[in-house]
Amino acid sequence: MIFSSVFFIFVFLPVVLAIYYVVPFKYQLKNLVLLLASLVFYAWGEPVYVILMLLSIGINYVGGIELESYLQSGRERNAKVACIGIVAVNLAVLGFYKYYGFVLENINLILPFKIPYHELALPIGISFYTFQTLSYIIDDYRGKVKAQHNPITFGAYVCMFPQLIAGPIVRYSDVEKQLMARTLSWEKFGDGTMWFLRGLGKKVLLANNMGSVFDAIMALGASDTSVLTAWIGCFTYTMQIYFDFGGYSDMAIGLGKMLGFDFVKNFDYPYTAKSITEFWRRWHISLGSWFKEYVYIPLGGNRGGTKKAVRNLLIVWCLTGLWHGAAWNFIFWGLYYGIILCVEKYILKEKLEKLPSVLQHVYTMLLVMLGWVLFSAPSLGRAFSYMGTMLGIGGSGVVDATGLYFLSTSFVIGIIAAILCTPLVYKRIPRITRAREWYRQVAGAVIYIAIFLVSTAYLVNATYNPFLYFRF
Amino acid sequence: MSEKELQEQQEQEEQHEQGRRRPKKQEHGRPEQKKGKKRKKGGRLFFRIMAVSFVCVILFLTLGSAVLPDREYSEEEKRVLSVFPKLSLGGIKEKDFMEDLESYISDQFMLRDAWIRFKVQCDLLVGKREFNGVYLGKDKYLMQIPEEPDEKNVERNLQAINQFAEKNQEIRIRMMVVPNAVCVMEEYLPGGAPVRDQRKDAQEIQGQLAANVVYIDVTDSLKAHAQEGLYYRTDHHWTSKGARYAFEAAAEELGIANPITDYEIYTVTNGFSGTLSSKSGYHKVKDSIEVYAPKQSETKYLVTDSDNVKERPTIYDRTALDGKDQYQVFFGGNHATVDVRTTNRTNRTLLIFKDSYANCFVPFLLPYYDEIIMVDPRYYYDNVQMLISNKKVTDVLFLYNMDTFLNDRSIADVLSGE
Amino acid sequence: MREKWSCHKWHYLRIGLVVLLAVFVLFDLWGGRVKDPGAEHVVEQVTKAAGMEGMTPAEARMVKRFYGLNPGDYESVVLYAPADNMDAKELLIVKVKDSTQREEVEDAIAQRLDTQLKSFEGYGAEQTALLEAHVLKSKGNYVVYIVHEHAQEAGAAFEKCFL
Repeated sequence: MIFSSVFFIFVFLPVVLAIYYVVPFKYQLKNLVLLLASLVFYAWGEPVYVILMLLSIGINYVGGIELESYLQSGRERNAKVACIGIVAVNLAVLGFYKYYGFVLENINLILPFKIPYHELALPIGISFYTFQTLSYIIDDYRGKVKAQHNPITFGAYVCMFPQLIAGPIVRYSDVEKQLMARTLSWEKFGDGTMWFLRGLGKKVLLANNMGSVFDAIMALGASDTSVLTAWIGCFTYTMQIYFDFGGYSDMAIGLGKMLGFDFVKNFDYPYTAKSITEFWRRWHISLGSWFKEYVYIPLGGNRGGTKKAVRNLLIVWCLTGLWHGAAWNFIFWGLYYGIILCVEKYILKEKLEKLPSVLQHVYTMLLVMLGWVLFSAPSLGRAFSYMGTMLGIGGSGVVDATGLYFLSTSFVIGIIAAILCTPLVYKRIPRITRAREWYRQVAGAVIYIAIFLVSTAYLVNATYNPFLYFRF
Repeated sequence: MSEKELQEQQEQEEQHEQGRRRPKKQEHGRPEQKKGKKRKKGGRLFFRIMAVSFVCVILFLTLGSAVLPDREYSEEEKRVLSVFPKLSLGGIKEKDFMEDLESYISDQFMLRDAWIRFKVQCDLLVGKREFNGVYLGKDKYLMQIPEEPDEKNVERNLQAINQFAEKNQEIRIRMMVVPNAVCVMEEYLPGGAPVRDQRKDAQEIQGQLAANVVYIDVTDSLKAHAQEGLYYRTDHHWTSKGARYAFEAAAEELGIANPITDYEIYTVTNGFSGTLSSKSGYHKVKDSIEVYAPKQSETKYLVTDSDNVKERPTIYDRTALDGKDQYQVFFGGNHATVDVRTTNRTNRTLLIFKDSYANCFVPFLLPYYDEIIMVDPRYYYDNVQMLISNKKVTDVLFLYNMDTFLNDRSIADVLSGE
Repeated sequence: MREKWSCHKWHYLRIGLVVLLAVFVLFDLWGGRVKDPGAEHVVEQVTKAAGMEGMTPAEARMVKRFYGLNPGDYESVVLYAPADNMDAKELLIVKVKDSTQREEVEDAIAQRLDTQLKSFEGYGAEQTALLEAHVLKSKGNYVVYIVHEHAQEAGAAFEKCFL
């Protein structure tokens, strides 16, 4: 089930919310409702792999308590072995389902004979919930959090449906207290609907419309693509992926609030960054900080000299790429950023900051857009030939009628999208929603409900509604 | 509110947006509290309105959809709508049940047609000109975007046609592939919209045909009249007028010496809304369907088809005008075979391999043949050579529109008779 | 002592769950292998469930014509075609010789479905609905494809053969 579907918004959500609000908080009943709803939500898309997720919850629940009991009785060695064991099991499952096909495919390329294998389906959300359980186990081992003794609460944490299939990656330490006690109020619910509708609009109105332009451009032959068309294609994908993923994160935050949770923000206007380093502080924050906390720092971080730091950075970025999918272009995409970040850190240093800020923005966006070309292309060869077209190699001139067609038909949405990448509009929202004059507040609500209705029209018409981040 | 206060508020909102947890305050659920009474009021109304209206909109639409009776068929989409799926263990395991339930909910959603029209309206507003594989051109013309063909398959069809021609040397074989609206009415396309070059396709087909298959290219003749309404605005077919110009251009090649050029024109409906309206969701125009009857023609005829063996004296099906697809007024739609026997004595029997474009073209051919047999290879599974010898066929015409022809997967099989 | 036992309890529980997980994954990996109920049995069960109204057994050449598949290449092929040309109902049951053939059969069926959908597009709303509600399943060495009002039931009957 995806959030941006008629079924989710008009059937699943109202039923779950109704039960959730009716049930009292005592005896963890709300958490039980949340857990059951999340299991139904997951089983809706993965009726078989829900068993895998339950087993994973079970192992980490039991393991967490086991770790704690070792630590309490002072047996550090046992705790260490258990921790490594649990982490290894989690990684093995993720690695097996995500990379088994990819690894065998590449081994078969090298070997003189073929190892037969049949491609396994990637269980939805496995990359997300595995990272969540890992954060719990490691923090438990480090003594940062207490083990969760209530299996319902723990289950609700791992498979909480708002963030189950596309993040954000919520760390246990961030929601530990909220799991036990949280407030529900009309104001918070209203805040949640605001976030949800904002995300819905981003996904349905901006991402999908940008995506359909991008698909139309990709369907053209290379010889029919002019420089202009290629750049429009790159721009629309850049917008699509941000609003798709960012919109989904907003919806997750909104749903969380409706259920009484506060999740960490996952995006912070990434396209306003002035350097790639800053871009990655603003893009998919929960993933970046996860890698920093659980890989980069344990590896030694930037202590121990430049050489080691560079090595660590490259390892982290290789893994980040690989996390996004089992394919070479994701690995190269990760390395691409790893290298740029090293260059910014050790070679460019402050030189970048001395540039006029316009140039800093241009520099960042250019690299980000080229990154998305790598990311979106079905193969490395296609990526490089597309970049070639963007530079005028092998295409149909600089500007052609087709390019102008795409420019004129996607102009309005493109401009709206570009503006909404910046804080320009959002900054003004509190002036309306928090204004003292009642009519301003009403006007604000009317705008959001209008977004809701327009999005509903697009959802009903959903001939085009694929979720980009389902692949990960 | 002073500027400073406003700034403070923004900061607070930003922090709020960051979602950074501030445990103590969070548990009290009211981070505003500390900042004084004024703030406590500000925003509350907004959030309450948001909460209430969100719930109300959802409840209204959900309950509305549940209460309203299910529709079986959507006139605007020309599609049978989903019904509530049966529950079964296998259906759940294979996800069939979930998928069917989701499509049931969205198909039976309250005011579905209105939502779709609203969506198209919004698209138009922001300058979109392509809707689900259909361009909205100038003068409210909807034009289907031709698909990219499978080259290998086209080659296979052409080879089969050439082999067929070799086997039937004594028959006059003609082929007419009619370009689609996007080609003939190029000027009507939204500026610069990318489409396949169908002229090039025509040349390529022509180049691959055997010598005794004569290709009749009507592109230029149609283009000369592009502004006269040769295609429907709301449908992917050509109009009788388009067929008429094509007939006049093709008559000589078909071996028709003195074609009639005077017609009685009847408008049989003004309320035609075709396939492209359904596909695109754009319902702002209606077409009229015209029927051309040659003047000075004495020809009478009887029609039978593979779905109705009863002989009838007309090729027109009036009942179609009340139905879902009014284009079916010609021959009652597509059939595996249609047989028209006329009162003419010309000693010519014509076999047409065709798609639906032929349905409004054949009326122009009636005065010149003793018998016309239409075969639609998509639904025809019998032996063609037998048909040719039984009916003593003297003429064969392949009549398609370019888009269907380039994507056809049945011509080769029917012709090779396997 | 009690504390130690409590550690062990959780430890063994965890190991037990990991074993279960391993079983699940192995089962998933080898899940494709199932028993062979016999082609005749499968055909009988599926046709019984579908009711076969409006369908007649088709000649072998129709398999080639519909799907471009050569019946001789497979262990057994059974095709039921619509009794009426303007109908979309059909039923195909193929038993492949080995699992590598399965993909080509599935591709051929997908192609056929695509062709049929195009043939009826804009003309036959009922046929299009039937085609969209088609059932395509494969299990072991069998592939079944049904376009019929009772496609769901026939699909379930097919699945049942392997239990």
